[in-house]
Amino acid sequence: MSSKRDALGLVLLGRESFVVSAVIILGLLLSLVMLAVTGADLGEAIPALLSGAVGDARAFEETLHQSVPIMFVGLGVAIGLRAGLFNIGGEGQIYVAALAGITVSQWLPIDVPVLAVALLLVVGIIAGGVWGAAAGWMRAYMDMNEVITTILLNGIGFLLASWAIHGPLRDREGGGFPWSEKIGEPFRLPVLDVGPLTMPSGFLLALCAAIIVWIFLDKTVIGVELRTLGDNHDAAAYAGARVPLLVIVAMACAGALAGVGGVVELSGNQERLSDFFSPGYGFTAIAVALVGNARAGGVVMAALFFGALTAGASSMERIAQVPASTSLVAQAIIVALLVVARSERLGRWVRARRQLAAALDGQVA
Amino acid sequence: MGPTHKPAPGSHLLALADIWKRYDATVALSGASLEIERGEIHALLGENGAGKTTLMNVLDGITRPDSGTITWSDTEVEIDSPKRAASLGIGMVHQHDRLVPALAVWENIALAVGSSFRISRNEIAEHLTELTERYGGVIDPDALVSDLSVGERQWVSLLRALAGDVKLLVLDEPTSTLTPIERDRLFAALRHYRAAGLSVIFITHKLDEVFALCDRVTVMRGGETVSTVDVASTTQAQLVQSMVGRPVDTDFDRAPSERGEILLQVDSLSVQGARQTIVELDLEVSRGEVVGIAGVDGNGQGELIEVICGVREAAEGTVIFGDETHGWHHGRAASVARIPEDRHRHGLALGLPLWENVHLGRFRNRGLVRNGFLNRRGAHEASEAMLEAFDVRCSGPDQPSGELSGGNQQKAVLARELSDDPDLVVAMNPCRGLDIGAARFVLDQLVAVRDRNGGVLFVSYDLDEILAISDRILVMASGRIAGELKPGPDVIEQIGLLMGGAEIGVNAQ
Repeated sequence: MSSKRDALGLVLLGRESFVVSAVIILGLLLSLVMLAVTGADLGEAIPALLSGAVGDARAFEETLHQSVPIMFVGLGVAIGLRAGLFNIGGEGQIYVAALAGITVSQWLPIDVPVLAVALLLVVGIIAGGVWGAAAGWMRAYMDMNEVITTILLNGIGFLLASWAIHGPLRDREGGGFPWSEKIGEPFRLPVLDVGPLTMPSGFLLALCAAIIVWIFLDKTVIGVELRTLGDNHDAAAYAGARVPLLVIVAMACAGALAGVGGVVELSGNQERLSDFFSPGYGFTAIAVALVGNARAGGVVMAALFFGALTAGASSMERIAQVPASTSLVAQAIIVALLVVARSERLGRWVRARRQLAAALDGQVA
Repeated sequence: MGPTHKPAPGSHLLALADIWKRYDATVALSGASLEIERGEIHALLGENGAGKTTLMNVLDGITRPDSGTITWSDTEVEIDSPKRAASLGIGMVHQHDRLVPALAVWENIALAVGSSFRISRNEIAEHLTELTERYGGVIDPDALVSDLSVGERQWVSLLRALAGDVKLLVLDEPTSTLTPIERDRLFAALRHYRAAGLSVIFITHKLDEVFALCDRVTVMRGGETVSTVDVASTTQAQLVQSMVGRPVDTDFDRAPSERGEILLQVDSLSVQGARQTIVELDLEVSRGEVVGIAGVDGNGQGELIEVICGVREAAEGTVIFGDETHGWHHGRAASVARIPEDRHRHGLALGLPLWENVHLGRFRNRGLVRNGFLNRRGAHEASEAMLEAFDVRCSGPDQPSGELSGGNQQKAVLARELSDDPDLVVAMNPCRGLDIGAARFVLDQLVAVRDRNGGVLFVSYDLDEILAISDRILVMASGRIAGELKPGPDVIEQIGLLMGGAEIGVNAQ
């Protein structure tokens, strides 16, 4: 197996991709069985799901909209995983970044769209990065588990944003809704026309981010050091790597990517901050990173898949009266199956069967 | 569940015969055998990795052997779980206690003995009082385990093991965390226990404890039980020999060399280690010499090397490389090579390909980086040359290092560490687990460093290796340098005395 293909995450060609595809197909089949058992009309539900995901230009755009935030956050989770760290803090990182973004857009109402968007992205990177780095710092110097700290920081991040939109940032003409004003026109990311289709420009940014993550992990020294850290913490220390610094860098990168996801969602999709700004993107992103095997290319494909599932599910709800939360159940089934498929024990069992088969072949020959 | 018939008098309580256990590439036990009489304290002696703990895990039902038989009171038994072991009457005290810190002492004991649904604090506390009356020590049954000292916890573990109907007590290095007084109390309790006709397996690597406590001793080395003798009819030197001896080709061509400038100076270093405390240790390594550190495993060698390698903090003292003093988190000094003891844990990132492993931490020093980006092709090509120079047998630089054999993994570590012609090499047990050929290759490389006027600090538990390549030999015992010796024909006796003797504080210089 070439390491290049593995790193690119073009996993459809490798063994890992076979496992993932099989798991996804099995997971979807199980979800359909569940739907049928609960009395849904599959003949209506399946076409509704497909048309909502990729049926027409609007459906396609919706799929991309749904994919963008989980792609960004998922890339961040992937960096953490490669460095042996588990970033559960996407949710909080999204909220603080979006909060910082909307605040800055009101302080500095720049009129030049390119500058405005660039400023917004930088703000997202910094805010999310700080939120992630905080957990990294606590891990590096106080040995506090990043799973716990990122979960706690989620609460803090969300409540900060919630306080702001109930208080100082509340839209006075919002009809009493607790949400911010819409972000200024120059700060918005446009939707692009691509032939007969339309594409949110945030999707292009997410693809760029994926390429940067791939280059970062694969082509830079820090990337190698992070992967060493993830593979063997002690060996990294013995080889002279500055482990505390690396931990902070990894978590800062994870947070920064989630932060960009937050501001891109703000400026390219929802345009205002609310209490329901993120319907769990930070957690879906963990599934995305796991299914994508923590490779940049894999994350892109997994995010597209989960985005399509979400978009399709909401159309399924409208047309076939099947609850949209079915897509969450499908996600959960897929992740659970994947954990089983990648488990050490199953791997050992498969290897043992292969050795046995080889030995038997040898006896026959 | 226990054996039903009465054993013939004088027969063994326990016999382990020809026990084998293989893990993927390594053999943990190769035909180990052990016989325990009734009413004896039987020492199981050997260095780390000799297979002592694995053998005891087989006895406790934690590890299933690949083959071999276990006979208990003349009945062949299968022990497939710790529960089964306990039902036979085998009580285990593990090296690291397995108490539940959040529970009280009596609750921990109830977990071990209480088989019924209902547990009574008072019954357990009464039982505990009986035990402390018999074996000594005062334990408050209601104290939380997390509030106890390490020594008290060890004692609770012992009492917990004794709380059931135990015929054979197994203690895995029980004294490593005890104070001398606690140790004496433990020994007294074990003698008392033996007097009641019960048996003890006492796992240790401390020679003086064997002589102070035990009736017979079985020495393990490399997964084999090499000898069983009466303690009364053996000597420390003989035990050392069978513990660490391994036929190594000791015929090294060493050019005469002069000690040059000092490369490494350790000044009054004190370290609080998990297993051993180092107190005010001084050490020097100069150009043109191999300094060998001999000693039984666990006497502070690991802690010393970890501090020198910058992965453990010292309490006090300094480590000076050349003319620079380094703090504890100093990065990698290009001229210092580190060959860690455990190549899986410290040497290699097993999931990463070889070409990355042979440059770990050194990409910058080797000019393989421009503006933070890797020169992948250059790194690849350099790694191919290095793998060839060090004779690493592999399918190519893209092969993950975890797929190689132990010897080839160690060669890959050497390739990384020695390719820059380092001034100073710090090597901890670099030949551990290697076959004779690979071990010889490693030692040759170390001698080569000395011959081109570098310095080598070489820790090994294997005396033959130490004798083969050292210009000076330091013997380490109980966290101190017990003595310095020149290699010579009768030096092995002196080393043996220093290794064992210093531990009981007689030969310390």
